[in-house]
Amino acid sequence: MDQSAPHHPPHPSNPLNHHHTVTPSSALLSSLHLDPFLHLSLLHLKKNLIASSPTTPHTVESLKSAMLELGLTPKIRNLAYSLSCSERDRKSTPEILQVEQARDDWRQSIYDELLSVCSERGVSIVGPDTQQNKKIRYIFDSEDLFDAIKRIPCSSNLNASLCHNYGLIKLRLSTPDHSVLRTKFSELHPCNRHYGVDEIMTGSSKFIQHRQEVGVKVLQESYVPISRQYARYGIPASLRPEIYRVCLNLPRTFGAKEGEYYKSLREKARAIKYNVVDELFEMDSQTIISNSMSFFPFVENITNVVLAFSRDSWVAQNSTYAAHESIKYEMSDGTNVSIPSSGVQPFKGFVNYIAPLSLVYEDEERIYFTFRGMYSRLWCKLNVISSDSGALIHLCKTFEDLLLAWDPALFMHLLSVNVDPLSIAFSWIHLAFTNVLETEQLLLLWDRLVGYDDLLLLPVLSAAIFTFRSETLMCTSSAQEVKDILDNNSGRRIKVIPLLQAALFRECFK
Amino acid sequence: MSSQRIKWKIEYEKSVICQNFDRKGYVRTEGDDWNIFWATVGTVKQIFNPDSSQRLMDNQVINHFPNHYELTRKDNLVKNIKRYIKEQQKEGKQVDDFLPVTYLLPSDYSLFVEEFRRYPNAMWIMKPSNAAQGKGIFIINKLQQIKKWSTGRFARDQQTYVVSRYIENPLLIGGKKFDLRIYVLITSFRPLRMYLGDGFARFCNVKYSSDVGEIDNPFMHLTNVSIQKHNEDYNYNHGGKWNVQNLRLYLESTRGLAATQKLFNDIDDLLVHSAKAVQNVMINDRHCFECYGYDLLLDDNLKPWLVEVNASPSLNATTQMDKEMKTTLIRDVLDIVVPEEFGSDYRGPNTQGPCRDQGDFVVLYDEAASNEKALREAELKAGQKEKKKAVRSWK
Repeated sequence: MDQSAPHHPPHPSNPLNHHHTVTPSSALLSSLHLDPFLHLSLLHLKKNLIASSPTTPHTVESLKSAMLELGLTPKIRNLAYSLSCSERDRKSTPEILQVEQARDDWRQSIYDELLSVCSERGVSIVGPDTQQNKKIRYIFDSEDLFDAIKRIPCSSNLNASLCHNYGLIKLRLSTPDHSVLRTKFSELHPCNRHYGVDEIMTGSSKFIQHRQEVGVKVLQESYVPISRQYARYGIPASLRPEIYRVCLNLPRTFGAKEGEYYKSLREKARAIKYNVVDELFEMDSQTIISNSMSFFPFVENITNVVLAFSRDSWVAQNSTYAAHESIKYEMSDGTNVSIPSSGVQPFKGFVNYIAPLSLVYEDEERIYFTFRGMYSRLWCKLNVISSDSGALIHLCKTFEDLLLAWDPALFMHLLSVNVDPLSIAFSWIHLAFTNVLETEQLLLLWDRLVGYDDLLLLPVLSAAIFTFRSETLMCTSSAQEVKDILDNNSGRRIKVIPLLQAALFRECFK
Repeated sequence: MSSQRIKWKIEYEKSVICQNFDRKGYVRTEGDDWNIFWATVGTVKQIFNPDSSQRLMDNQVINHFPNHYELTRKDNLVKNIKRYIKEQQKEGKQVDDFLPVTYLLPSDYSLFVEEFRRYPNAMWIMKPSNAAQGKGIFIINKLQQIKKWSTGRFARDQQTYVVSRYIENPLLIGGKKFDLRIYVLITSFRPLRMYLGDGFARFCNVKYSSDVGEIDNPFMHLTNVSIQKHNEDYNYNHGGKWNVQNLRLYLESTRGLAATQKLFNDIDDLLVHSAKAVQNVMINDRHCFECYGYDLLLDDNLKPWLVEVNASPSLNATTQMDKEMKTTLIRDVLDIVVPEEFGSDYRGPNTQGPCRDQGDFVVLYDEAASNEKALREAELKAGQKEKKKAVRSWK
């Protein structure tokens, strides 16, 4: 135990001190019943028990020890936890009509753009590409998504008190205020030691050692909520690969099964080419990664991962949200294909979600499965048009409400020079700051996103950056000046955790 | 002495250097009344030539040691290091070799042939002793490829070569080979005063393969920017250069904390040993300082190997990031070598007290301070033997 930490019982950065119980509802139990993995495991268990002592009756104890021996206990525990979480997350309120309409319009426009590019190229979406003309353009980017969201009108029959006219998001969504955020992100309080702050202070070696020791114990537990709790304080680089694996409930070892699966995806990508769609993913990788100062050595790996992703129907079946729609296409032999199988259409900057993982994992496979896990849990929420809490629109509105509450003078000033704050922050939120922060800082931010299994820190950080630059911004007299100050390149110097702490717990810094 | 009156001189226009001098408010001069001269090695050789009548004043510093080639010529480097390791062994100190097995040609030709025959599948890399920027380098795997050195006719030729065991298992990142360029500032050799500066990895554009058929592909094997620049995949945005911070992050994630820390400690050790190896042969003129460009190669076992030491590392900036890095580098070098009190009573860096970190430079090895500390500790704890290493760290 770190003696020099302020007294804060129980020691908050030791997640083993937290209790994570799951009270099974009947719905959960029936999901468990239906889970194929569990079914197989129980069969295996049964076989094992019968083999070991065919005649003596089995007690709870012998059952427990057999489960432990077979390594089933952590897997089942994590499975139960994940199912209970997804139960909680399940949408309980119906979608707002305007939003549903916008989502359909958005999907339609993507479809139209895709077909339009195909015809510009003179090819069909699948099939031989004999055209000399390789002209291609992105079918959409962050700006287009932003426009689609901005256009959503306000519904008139919701509570008028939730309305203010200053932001671009007209929907009247209820967003978490400062006190709610402080409670939710209480682990970020500066009285706690964090990676992103404390590992570079003097006397940090004790802290580093302590975090390492706790991290190793956390990994031994291999239990999702404990790993997530650990991640909230930042993960040392050497433990990040494994902690992310547990947090995302990925298999302990990447064995032959996973290897085969990934290989088959790559084979699919090689065997049948999707004109335009594949090219767009490749172009995204080539332009962004080849030019990236941090990721250029990994351009091939990232290209392979993004193409494999596009062939993975698991993504369409298991993502929390279906951000886009596949194009249904009937092949010449009568089979139907979904293009792409993942249901995620290419857009400018998509590879940014993959790139940081190339500095975490050496094996392409592991990059793939981790990225897939993160997309299906987190990034899909940044790309779907939905009014759900935690999804993109809600995050945008949270940003606007926060900035207005934290620094109304700044908000008004920006409006007066014709800058909507969200117009700058949108791409930061949409791309999870991959286009702004330097790699180490980005990963420290992602540690918290994974640890909280929540994207709320994206708007919080966005608002924090604005308020941090408030003094300089108040002196601007034109939109261009504002854009220069908040230019993405200036993000290279941002230190994420101190900024978040200052924004959330500002009274500590007075 | 106010900074207004410090005079600087330079031989070739290098914006990175000129800008730094200007920023400090120094005054440029073309005459011999300079206080700091950023010269070429040729000019320094002339100045220190015994036949030259020029004597440097107390308040003059210059950017090369007269016989830097003990470190920076490949053949001398090999000789000095081999000798140093043997000497250390005699004193009972084990120094792991950090130079690949190397022979000088033509003098060691027969020794080389013996070694070659012992490992017939090995590859060897041939480098002219005195060239730079990857010129004249090629890889061999058959004795026939260097036939001309066996005939003896070559002996009349001025150009000597070094042939080193080629490291066939380099650490690959993204499937590509890279080397490390590290800047080390030395302001004195006796006692050693060494500062560790920034560094970056230089990547090949082409994926690596130790396939024999590819040994003639310079884009796969030679990391020099001057060579990679000619590949069609060369990118002007980053120039194939990767920040050391990214390297460290990647290694900690993929190889673990302990292995990464050991690597960077081994690098520090390598740098210090290389300087110690030439400590006693260098002309330790107190007017001299030198910022070396060390080239290291990491193998798959995370062992660092010394490839070469450059006396005049390129100060051309190939990318924006490069420019910033080199500007900061020179700024820090000047902050270290130009003392606060730079009057006519300046007696050299050893009169300035213990080495101190400056900007992005950290103290790598301060021999005097380290010895003093060891002495004090020996006195305090009579009988205890822990010889503390000098403070070094790689940020």
